This record gives sequence, C-alpha cells and structure tokens, in this order.
Amino acid sequence: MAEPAVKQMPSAATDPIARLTAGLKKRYHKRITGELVVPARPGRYEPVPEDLDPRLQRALAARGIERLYSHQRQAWDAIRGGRHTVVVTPTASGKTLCYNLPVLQNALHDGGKALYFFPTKALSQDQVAELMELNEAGDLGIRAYTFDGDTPGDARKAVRTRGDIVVTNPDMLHQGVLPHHTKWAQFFESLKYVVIDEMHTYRGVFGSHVANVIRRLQRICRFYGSDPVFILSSATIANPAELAAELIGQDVEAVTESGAPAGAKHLLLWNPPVINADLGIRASARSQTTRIARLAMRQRLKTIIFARSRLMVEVLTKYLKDVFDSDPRKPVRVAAYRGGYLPTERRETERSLRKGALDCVISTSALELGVDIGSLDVCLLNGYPGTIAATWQRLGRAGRRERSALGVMVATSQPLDQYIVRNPDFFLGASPEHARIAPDQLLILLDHVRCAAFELPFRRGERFGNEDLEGLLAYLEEQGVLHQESDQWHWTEDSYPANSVSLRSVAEGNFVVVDITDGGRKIIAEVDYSSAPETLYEGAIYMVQSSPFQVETLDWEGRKAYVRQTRVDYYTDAIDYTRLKILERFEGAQTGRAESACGEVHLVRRIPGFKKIRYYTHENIGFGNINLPDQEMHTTAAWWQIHPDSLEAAFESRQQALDGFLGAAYAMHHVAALRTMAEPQDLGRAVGDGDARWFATVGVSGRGQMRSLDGGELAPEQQDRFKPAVFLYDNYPGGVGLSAPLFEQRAAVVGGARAMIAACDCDHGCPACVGPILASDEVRGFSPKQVALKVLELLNDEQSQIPS
Amino acid sequence: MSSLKSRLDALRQQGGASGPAGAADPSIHQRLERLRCGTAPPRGQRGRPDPEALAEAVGGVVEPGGFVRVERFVPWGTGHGGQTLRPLPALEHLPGMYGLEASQWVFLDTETSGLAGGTGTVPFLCGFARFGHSGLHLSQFMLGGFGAEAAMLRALMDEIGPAPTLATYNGKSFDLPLLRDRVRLQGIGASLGETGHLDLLHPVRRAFASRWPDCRLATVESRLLDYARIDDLPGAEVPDVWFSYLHRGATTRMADVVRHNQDDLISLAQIPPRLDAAYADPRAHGADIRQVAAAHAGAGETSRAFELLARFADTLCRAGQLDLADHLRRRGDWERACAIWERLAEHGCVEALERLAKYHEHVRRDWRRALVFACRLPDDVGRSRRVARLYAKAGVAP
Repeated sequence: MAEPAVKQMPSAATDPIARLTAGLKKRYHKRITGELVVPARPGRYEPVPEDLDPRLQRALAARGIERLYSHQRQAWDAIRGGRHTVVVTPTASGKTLCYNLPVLQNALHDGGKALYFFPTKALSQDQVAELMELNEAGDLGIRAYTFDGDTPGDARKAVRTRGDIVVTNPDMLHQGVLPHHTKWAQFFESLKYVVIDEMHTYRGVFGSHVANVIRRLQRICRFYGSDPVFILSSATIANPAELAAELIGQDVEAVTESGAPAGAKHLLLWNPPVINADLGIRASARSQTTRIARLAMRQRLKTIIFARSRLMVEVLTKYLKDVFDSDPRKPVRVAAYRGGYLPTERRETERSLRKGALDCVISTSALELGVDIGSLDVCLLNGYPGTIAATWQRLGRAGRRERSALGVMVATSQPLDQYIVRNPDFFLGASPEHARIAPDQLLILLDHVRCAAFELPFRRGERFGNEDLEGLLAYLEEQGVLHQESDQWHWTEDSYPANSVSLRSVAEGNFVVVDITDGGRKIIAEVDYSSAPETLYEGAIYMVQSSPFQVETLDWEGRKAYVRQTRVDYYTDAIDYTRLKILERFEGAQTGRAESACGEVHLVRRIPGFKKIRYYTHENIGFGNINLPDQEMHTTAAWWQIHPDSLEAAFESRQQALDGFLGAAYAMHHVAALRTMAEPQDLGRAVGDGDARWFATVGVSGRGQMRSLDGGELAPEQQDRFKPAVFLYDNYPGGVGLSAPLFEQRAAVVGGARAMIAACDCDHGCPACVGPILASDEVRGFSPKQVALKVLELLNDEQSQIPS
Repeated sequence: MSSLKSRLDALRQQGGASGPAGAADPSIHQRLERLRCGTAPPRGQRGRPDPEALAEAVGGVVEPGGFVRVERFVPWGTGHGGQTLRPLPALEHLPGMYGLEASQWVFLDTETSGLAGGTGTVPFLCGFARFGHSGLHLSQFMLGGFGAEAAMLRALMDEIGPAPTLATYNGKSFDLPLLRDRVRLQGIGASLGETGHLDLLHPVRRAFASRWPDCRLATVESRLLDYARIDDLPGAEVPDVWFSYLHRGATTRMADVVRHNQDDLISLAQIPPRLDAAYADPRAHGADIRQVAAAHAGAGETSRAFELLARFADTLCRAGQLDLADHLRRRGDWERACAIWERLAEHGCVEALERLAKYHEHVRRDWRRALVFACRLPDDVGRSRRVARLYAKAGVAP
C-alpha cells in the first residue's frame, strides 16, 4: 500500500490531476513536507462461480456485474468451504458482495439465515437497502430487516420469525436480542452466517466488550444446535486476522489482496505557514484547505473534504458555497454531509455524488465508512484523522480506474498533526496501527459472565473466556447473583444485567452529559468514570464536536453533568494531582543512564482546581476550585526513569529536571496515544516518584512543582532521593492492554517525542510540543523546551538495552 | 481462585461499584487495606434449599421431580371482601364474551423471580384455580430448586394445557410468554393457551383507566371487589423471598408468598361477574361510560352501545356526546343529532361544527346555513375548500 518511491506519473499535459499537483508543488513547496506516489493497479478478475444460483446471476447481471474481482471469488471459496473469513480491502472494492453472495445463495438454497451487525444505524439501513435492490433485481424473495431501538413493537415479531437476514448493532444484540433468545429460537436454529462489518471499529474497550457479546452469541447458537460461519470485513489495519480471531475466538482466514482496479494516487503532506513564531502559531488548516479546494474546483475536479468536527464541516461549506454557489440560478456545486442531517438529505447527497452532479462534498467521518458515492478526484483532509488506518481509508475515497487522484493532508496546530506532518517518513512508511482488544479484562469479562448466566445457566465444564470461569462463577455466587445447584449456576437477581453494562466503559458509573441550553434536556455525550473528574467539574469547558459547552452542575452520585452552550474565548485545564505507586514490575529494560519498565500500579488522583487559558495567547486568565472525591485505581502502566547520578550530571537544578520531565511526559503522552490507536482519554500520564513519595504537577504559576501526598508543596533540592519517573497508564481499572505494547515500543515513543519537540517552531514551548507554557523563560531561568529535550535524550540512551 | 477473587474485589471498588460482600480471607483484607477501602459486613448464614422443608412450611407435598404441590379448597359461601363465593352465571355484558361461561375457565397467576423479563426470569410458583361443584379449587406448584422446573412445567401442562380457556390478569404480555419461554428452554414440546386466553386486564383498563389511578390487580380488588388485604406481602418483595430460600434455605416467608398468590387467584376468579355488572351499568360502578359503549360497539353490539350512551346522555363528556350523536345519525335521527351538535357548537366544538356543516350541505342542501358553520371552522386547507365549494353552490361571491 505505501511504497516510498516515485513511479511514473501521467504527464502533466494530459492529466488535470497531475497538472494540479505539479502546480501546488511549485507554488507552495515550502508548505509541502512530504509526498508519496501509489502506483496504479489493474483489475484482477475471476469468473462468477458455476454453482451460483441463476436468480443471483440475473441480479448481478442487472447491476452490470458479469464477473467477480479476485478477492470476491477468494472470499466466496473460503466462506463456502465453511471457513471463517475476514476481507480487508480498500473502500469501493466491492466488499459487501463478498458476504452478500454466499449469504443469499445459502438463503435461496437451504433457507439458512444470517445475522449482520454494523456499528451504526445508518449503515444498517444502507445495507438493507442494498440487499433489497439485489432482491428485486433477481426476484429472490428474501426478507431482510433491521432490528434496533427504532423497530416498532408490532414489527419485532415479524422480524424474529420471518426475517431471513436480520441487521442489527452490537448494543441491540447485547441488550435486546440475546437476553430474549427464546423469542428468536427459530432464527438461531437456522443461523448459518454472522456478518460483522467495519471490524476495525471494534477495538479498545468497545472491542473488548463486543468480543464478549460474540462469546455469548456463540453460546446461544450452541444451545440451539447451530454453528454459524463468521464473515468479517475491515479497513486496513496492521493485524486484521489477529483481531478477527480474538473477536470470534477461532482462527480466521484473511483475504487481503484487492482485485479491484485503481488509478495512481499522489499524496501530499501540507503544513500551514507560521505566522507568529513566538507563540508557535500557524495559519489555520481551514485557510489552506479552502485554497486548495478552490484550485481543484476551478478545474472542475470532483473533490471531497474531510473535517474533524461538524462545526468545521459547516465552516468550510459556507466558505466554499460563498465562492461557488453564490448564483442561485445555477446548479449547486458544493454540499455538506454529516450524521446530523436527515437520512433523506444524505441519500440525496449520495445520489448527486454518484451521478456526478456535485463538484464538492464536505464531510465528517460519516462518509469514511461504506456508502457508495461514486468516483472522486481529490481528497483533502482538514486535520489528521487520528490514526494512519483512518487516514488511508479516507484518502481512499478519491480515485478512479483510468485516472490518477490527489490526496492532501493539511495539518492543524495540534501536537499529533504537527508530529505527523514533520515526520513524513513515519507516516508514509508506517503500516497502519495494530487494533488491540482485551476480551479477558477481568471487569469486562465478569460483566459478560453475568449477562451470559442470565441468558442460560452455566454448566460445569463450560468454557467462557480464558480466565478461571468457575472462579468467576464462585465469586458471583458469593455476591448472591448466582445460585449453584448440582452442576449448574442459575441467575438469582431481580434485575436485567444487560441494562447495567455499557459496551463503551469499564464497570458501572458512566457519566452522561446533558445539554440544558434553552430549557431542554438532551444527552449529548458519555464520559467514563475515570475521566469524569478532570473533564466535568463545575466550570469546565467541555467540547463536543468542537462546540464549547460549560458545565453548570455536576451530580456526582447521579452520574450526570448538566452543561449549557457557551461562547467563550478560553479553555479549561484541570490541575492534576496524580500519585502513582509501583506494585509489581512485569518487564523492564536498562541502559547506562536510564531504565524503563511496565507493570501494575496503584494510583490516587485528586483534581484540586483548574486554570482558564485563553486561546492563542495561552494566558492564564483565571482559576477555579474543584471539590470532588479522590479516585483510586489499580491499573497497568509503562514508565521511564533516569538514574539519579546521570540526572545530577545533566541538570543544573532539580527544578529544571522536574520541568523537563513534565514537558517530556506531555509529548510522550501524545505520541503514545498515536501509536496505540487509543482515544486520548484511554491513556493517562503522570510524573512522580516511583515509590509514591511525591508527584509533580504544573502549578498555577506555570512552573513545575513537587508535591507530597497530602498536596503540600516540597522543595526538590531538599529531598534525599530524586528519581522522577514518567508514567503512561491505562485509564481504566485493571488496564485494557495498552501498557505492554507501549513498553515494547518504548524507543519509538521517546524518539517520537524528541522529534516532535525538536521540530516545533515555537521558541520556548507551546501546546504543540511540551504543553501550554505559562511562565516565561525569564521567570524560570531556562527554556522548557530545552530541558524536556535533555530528559528525552537521556531516556533515549541506546547504547545498551539490557532487558531485566 | 482466591487471588482472582481479591483482584475482582479490588477492581470493582475502583470502578465505582459499591463494596464487595464476601467471606473473610487474609489476602483480600491485605489488598483492600492497601486500597484503604472498607469492607462490607459479612452476609448472613448460608444454607441449602430443601424441598421437604419448603413443603412443610407451606402446607404442601413434594412431588416426583422435586416440586411442591399445595392444594386448597374454597367452598361456596366463603367471603372475599364484599363478595361471597358462589357459582358464576354466564356473562352477558362483556364485549366479545357475551354468553361465555366463566365458571369453565382456568384462572392462572404466577410468581416470578423478577419483572424485567428476559430468559433469566423464572416462575417459581404457578397457581391456578378451577370451579368445581361445591366451590373453587386452588392448586399451586412451587419449585423446590431449579432442577425441579422441568417436572413442574410438565405437571402444569398436563393439568391446564388442554383447558379450553385460560383467564389471567396481564397474562398476555407477562405470564403466558414467560411460561412458553420456560417450556421451550426446558425442551418440553407443549403449548399453552392456544385454544383460548382471556386477559382480564384489558376490559378492566378499557372501563376504568380514565377513572382509577392505575389498573393493578390490587386496585381492582379494592375498588371492584371491595377486598382489602391484611398483612399482605408486597409484590416487590416476592423475588427476594425466593432468593432467600435458594441462598439460605429460608422458608418462613414462602408461606406468605403462597397466601398472596391464593388471594390473587380468588380475586381473579371473582372479577368476571363484577366486571360484567360494571359493563351493564357503568355509571353505578364508576366506569367510563363512553369507553364501555365504544367497547360494545367494537364488538359489534351497536344497539347496546347506543342504549348506554342514550341512557346516560346527560353525564357524557364531549367525546361521549359526539359518539351518541354519531349513533343517532346512523339511525337517521337527525333532529336529536343536530340538537347535540348545536349545543356543542355553541362552545366552539370543532367536530360538531364540521358535522353540522356537512349535514346542512349534503342532507338539507341548505348552502347558506352550511356556510354559517363552515366559516367558524379553524383555518386550514379543508376549511378553505369547503367554504369555496359552498360559495360556489350558493352562487354568491365570497
């Protein structure tokens, strides 16, 4: 997929894309930090299988399909051979046919049923629509229905008893289907295929839960005597077969070579120019994106722009419409697309795109997945999408068979973006990330054992997950949740366990964010228990899709935060007193001057107050108190330390070293989140003494402070021992499997942080590299950037990495 | 295994869940100390469920398979609130049940381990009642343990499966689906209530939902049967009694559950005649006259419906009066229908105005009079069309 070589590009004279690309490179060469050419690929075809039902053949022919791509045939062979299969090919490569064909064939011939699940309702509905088109084209008589929260009560029975293909989502399966499986008896008895689309979205905490929902599904199938084949489909990630196997608990065959033809792709990495060196401020990404879009549209090239928030979609749309749609007599050329629009509006936009009637569409990630929007020439990314995998998936939206395509990623000033755009080799040479799940995470597993026991009593000798099942059952029995009788464990609670298990959090206690603007009460977000104190304190500015809300009231016991829309020019930053104690060391490595390790830690976190920081200037314009209970947690972490002697030799004062550690931790946190494909809040960071004698925090004044356990300030010079550590920990009790891979990539994390800070254009430090610096050099007496770099250099000591 | 347990306890504490309950264990204490979290007090004595002990506590016998059977006979003449038990006459006034012999029905009520539904719900007590020559026979089957469920359900299906008509309260959405699910889970291929099932909640709700605070069985009991229970076990506590039996072998409160269920069954068996009377004379029983009339009309008994509405015409609400006027209209009694409409129209009733406009246009063909009413209708597309049409017919410019 990514070959860092310059192959033959069509000549600029004949190809408008090439012309545009050459023009951009010439005029803006200072802003382009990297480029890549992906060569064109011819199509590889296979004949339609001979045993394909003639009605299906007719349906395909009616849609212009006379032969299959090689990967579609490969999938057919594997699936019909009874092997679990995952299809990993780019967007617009005909992935849905890989599963629809075998499913429909089996439904027509043997009356077998299939269960599909998608991460969103919109995708579910699109899929049913596509199945219905095939159905009509071939007069197949197959019934496909969605089954989710919106399915009306009287329709549900029809879906259960007469549906051949039922399309749902993981939450509905977890709460609405499995705990009522007797009503689905006929369906489960005949279940032949389970189709899981967009598999790569099932990672992290969510993926760990979904893997357990699948365990419960398989258990129910066994009860009804069926053993369905699993068909998964995924965007490109580093480990699709591995993730698929972990999700379904069995080996999976991967189909990865796409047979769909594709034109050449030219990719540019673009960094807006600096306009204020002192503060490290660059021109906005938006200004660059609109400029490039205008150039593309003037050439009548079809363009798609991806923005990271709904707000930015609207802003970009307005700007481009002002330029191109100012005359109401002419047809519309620019359209916006996002989840909040009505389904009918979105269908209309998709149709226009397919017909070629629109020249430019601006979208959020909503158009990243699945939906067919025809062929486009140029794809602009306004900001780094967050993962390499998502970046390539979006860029994949542009591309035709006969012509080349252009993709441009425009970086914003956020640390991740700057890191990417300044390390073109990292991005261009990088494989997409590994998606990881931890299905045996103890709390998650326990929750699903409870749900499973409600569905069917457990029998001695059963297996569920890879932990000691009888130990878990005995634990639940002691809690009064289960009752053991002869060799079975029965549910004995007056409740419905699936209702208290959220697939997106670990353990109970998720907070909901309720928007009370204009007297309404709308839930707009959900925040994990661990992250709540530092994001939902009263007075906090909470962002949803880049729209700011202010938290008016926090109901701690009720797990609710009431927010109101606001227009402020500052953001809030909680002061974090997190102290960590290392409980157990699993693995470690030593160098001459530094050491790193991973293991189990215990942390206590208090958020005593917060700072109000003005945008762009980063001045501290205020301070607020926070009064919330301390949080304690056992979890896993990776940490880095420097030998006290080496520290002493390298730094003039301990205060300097402390500031260096705080700056280094900030940068490492961002790089680590990037490398583990984690959400920012999944990983926490802290600087402290490994024995929990003190911890470090950035004080109100902007200088690093050393504090003791009760929060009182200490003088660094007066401590006997000074061995600070940077901790990066899983922000969920019990951990979710992020720390061990992070330890394995320790050199890359440190190296990446160094590169990010070194390449930052600011003078002394900024939110793009070491964090908002509120105290100037004069006050400190040294440059925060320099000391952070020194710490990282010491950590990056590669002379001898001795594992210990 | 103990280290797994201590890990779980510690983790659950941090996840925002409430503290663990468990037996003492040094390593757990150590870890909890480390977290500085308190431990919950240890739970009470553990015990095993014993079907024999259960049978003794509730006055029943243990049947093969491990379930307990309780029998009770309630002779004619026994009082139950304001009622005295006596043979039920055939129903006369309940819509869709005219002429049915309620004394042939099998009344059914279950007690379950929870009300949330789903496959983890167990009916641990299934009670049913049948009228005999000299009174009401109550039978109750109770689980002595989970292993007895198959035997209990088989016995239940044998006894009441063939019954031509089952009668329940909220059985349509709760008891019957639950029993069917359990039968399927246990692999018993029997059917229940396929021949006939009457859920008395629905006619009760039809007549009384607008009059009573709720339609729970307890409310029906007190308002329709004049029966107030003494020392009754609240329904919400029933699951807990079952769990206490399972976890600790406690049987004392099981007798209360049995008594509670018996009261439910007897009340259920008394509802048909009282409900019948309410549908005959809704006014005297505080029922919603209009809804009762509409129920009759829905069952095809238009004359009954009309008779009721006419009899209580002066107490009808606006909707009821419109219904009465519609009946009169269908019978061709325009004069009385108009009288009602005109009275309602004086108060601005839109439906009345519309009917008057239609009547005068299509029946009397009096365009001007029709216009008078049409113009008072609220402004919308229908009104505009009607008014324009009437002006055209009248040959007058608007």
